[in-house]
Amino acid sequence: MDQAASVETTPGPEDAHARDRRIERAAERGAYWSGSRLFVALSAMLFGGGVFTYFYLHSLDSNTLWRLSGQRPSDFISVPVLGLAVGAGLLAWLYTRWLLRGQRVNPADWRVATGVASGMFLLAGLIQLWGMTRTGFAAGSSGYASTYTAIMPVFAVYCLGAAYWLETGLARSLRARHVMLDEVGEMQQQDRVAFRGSASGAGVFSLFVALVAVATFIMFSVLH
Amino acid sequence: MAIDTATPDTLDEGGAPERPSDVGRPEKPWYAGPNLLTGILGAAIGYLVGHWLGNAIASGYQQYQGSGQNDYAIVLGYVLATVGWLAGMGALTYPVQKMFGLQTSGEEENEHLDPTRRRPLRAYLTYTLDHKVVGVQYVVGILFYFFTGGLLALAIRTELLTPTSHVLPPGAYLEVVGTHGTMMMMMMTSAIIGPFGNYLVPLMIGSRRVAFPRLEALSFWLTPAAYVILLSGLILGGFPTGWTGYAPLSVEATQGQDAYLMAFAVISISMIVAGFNIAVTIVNYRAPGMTWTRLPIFVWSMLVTAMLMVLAAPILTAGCYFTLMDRTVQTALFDVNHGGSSYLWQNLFWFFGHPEVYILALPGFGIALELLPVFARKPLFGYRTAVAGMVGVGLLSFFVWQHHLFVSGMNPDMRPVVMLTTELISIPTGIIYLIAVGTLWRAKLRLTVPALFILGQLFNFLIGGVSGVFLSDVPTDAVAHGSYFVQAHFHYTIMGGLIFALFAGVYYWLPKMTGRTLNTRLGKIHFWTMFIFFNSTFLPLFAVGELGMPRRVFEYEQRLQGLNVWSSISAYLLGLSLLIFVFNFVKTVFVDPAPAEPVANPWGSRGLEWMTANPPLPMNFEHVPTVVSGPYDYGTDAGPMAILGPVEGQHDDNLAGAVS
Repeated sequence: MDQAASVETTPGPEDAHARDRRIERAAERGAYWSGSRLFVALSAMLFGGGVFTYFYLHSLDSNTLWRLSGQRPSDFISVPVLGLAVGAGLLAWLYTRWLLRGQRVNPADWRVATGVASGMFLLAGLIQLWGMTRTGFAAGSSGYASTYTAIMPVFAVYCLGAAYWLETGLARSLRARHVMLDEVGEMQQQDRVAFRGSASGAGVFSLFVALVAVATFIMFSVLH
Repeated sequence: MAIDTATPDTLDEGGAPERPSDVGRPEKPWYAGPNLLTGILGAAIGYLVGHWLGNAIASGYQQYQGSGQNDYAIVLGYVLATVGWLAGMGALTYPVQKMFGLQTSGEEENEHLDPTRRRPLRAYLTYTLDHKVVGVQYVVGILFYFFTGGLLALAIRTELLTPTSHVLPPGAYLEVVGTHGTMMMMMMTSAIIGPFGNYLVPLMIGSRRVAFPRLEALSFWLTPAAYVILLSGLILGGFPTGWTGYAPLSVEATQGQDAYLMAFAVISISMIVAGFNIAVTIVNYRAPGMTWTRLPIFVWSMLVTAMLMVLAAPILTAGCYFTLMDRTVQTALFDVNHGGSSYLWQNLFWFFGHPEVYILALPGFGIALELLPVFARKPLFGYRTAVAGMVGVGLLSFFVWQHHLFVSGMNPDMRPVVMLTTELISIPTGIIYLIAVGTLWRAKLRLTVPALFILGQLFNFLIGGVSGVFLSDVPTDAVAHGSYFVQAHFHYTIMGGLIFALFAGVYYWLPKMTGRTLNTRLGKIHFWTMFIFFNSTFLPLFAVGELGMPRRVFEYEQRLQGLNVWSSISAYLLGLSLLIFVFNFVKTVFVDPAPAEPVANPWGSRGLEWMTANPPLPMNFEHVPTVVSGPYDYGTDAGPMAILGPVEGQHDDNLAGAVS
């Protein structure tokens, strides 16, 4: 250790430990914030690969087999999936936003909204997966069919992932009710920071999944 | 998907557990919890279940019946084996606990936070939350993967000793070439961010932890899974596509191709996770006073690399997934006869593949610029310009991928645009290089072993970089594409740049990790033999390429035998030089008795990482340090870089990167 290591710290050990905790909690808050946004960014790149594939094959129209006439998923599957995912995304995002800002909602409202949103995402994911067996076209019959068959299971997995993330926040708030209180002890601050960070991230991620639902609906059910 | 964090301050000030349930709990024997054996068992069970499931699914498909090839079984086997491996290692315990709102036991955290406990060997074989242990795991893992790839390289050079007599049959030669290339390009993406990024970044920024330790551990434990999957491809007949995996061959190839695709997909996830954790850690966990302009240049290189990994690797994941869909579910994404396009793979792959070149190169430059001021005893020349150069390389790397398609049918009108962007990237790269040279200018350089490796890296990269400019030009690329000229070029940039920097880092930071210094005499012998035989191996290959020898062939013209034999013999000697390192490493770390007093700061560095003990305390620093000056103020009146704790009267309750 060089000479710098021997430099004494001036405040007392109690103050120093308290300072460490304050600093690291602030960092953890930041980590949740930037981590969830970065996760959305990398997910956008993943779906970006799918969107590129869609438009690349669409523009090439190899052997005029981009899309066979009348080929599209059933509206009885795609519309409910869209509605559930968008509804769940907005619900989770709005209620989390309001909760974290201390506006309009109380903890019970948030729990109900989060539980409902989690259930809606779960249902959307399951319907989409079931819908993959009811497309009415062969996976390799066209560029469109191939793209749909490849992208939509990933979207379904993202719906299930959003359901899981929301559910973990709900479960944490039910098992450790203090995490939603404004006034908590020093020992409980860590849980509170983790809960608020995770809830904030889940809200943003839910909104992202809702946007993906809109994008995939436009690509596969609206555009021709 | 939930983002997890450990709770490292679950200990009170004395190091005792906070939770009453942990107090007085007897220590469990090693076999009672997740460990390497349960991981292997989980992988075996997962593979068998996946294989059975794949057979069950495919039994209804005509194309598989009696074909002897069932990609469903292989792919599902690999997927469930990976899941089983992670479950057996304990990686899934926390996500499952979260579903039920349970708190983590804190036991794992205690393992690395209790300063009184000595870390046993088995701690290095577990799913640990200590970033330093993960760093050491990566050191061993990366060297292991590198030497495996190196042995495959020697097999290639053995085959090329004669133009027509063969050691390997043609199919086996292609398998070896493909596995060598994939092993090196795939497994080595984390060659520096894995060992040094994970170990050193928290120490260098003054943090006592990483942001997401579970994700960090996950990133490492995915690599053995990818390694085994990739090598299993040899049992399944290998893959004929080489490391680039071009369609439609990748869709039509036998089951060995599944191994390539799954291994690359697993590694892409590992890259994403590793980069994610490093980036978030750097942004948020910088100590008070560690402003962006005081951030060590190595950490800057880690940040840019991490962002490239996070944003480029998902495209690779998508590409591998799409190919697996073509091979199993019978989509036609890469089949031009059914509305797909084989060029789609080239676009997806190189959108990842070219940033990957900089994922490999930037950390090497980070090490070079980090170490040069230490040995030159003068400030880093043009610190801010170096940062701008790194960020510039990172940004531009996303706009050059199509130069890999120059001769494969891209729109001719697009060629000048891509040529321009490719040549543009040489500007920030050149700036970084000049900053290294500027730091050396009029310096009294101490020629230690790490400094020698850095000088070797600069020499090699100059040749690699200049030859790269030729390949960015359409007319010369049209001639040289697919030849040994390209092969020599990228070996100069990747092995000459990255691997030399890796060894510089190992020699420089091993005292930090172990408290022991590698033998200097052996280190210098290692450097000189490696430097001479590296150049002796790859320099002739430029000529071989110019004389018309294409890559991936096992027969060549008689007139090229002399150069090939020279290159092959040099390659053996290069391998021997690496054995000198292995001997030195094993002797120093495992055989020699521990020094009575661990080495302190053998290089006289100002870096924050050297202000802690060697090896560091379980929590790195007793208190979060306060950074008071820059890391490269050599030869100035600046005091120490940091004070190891709070400073009276200074309001520093926020980390430099904290979000208020």
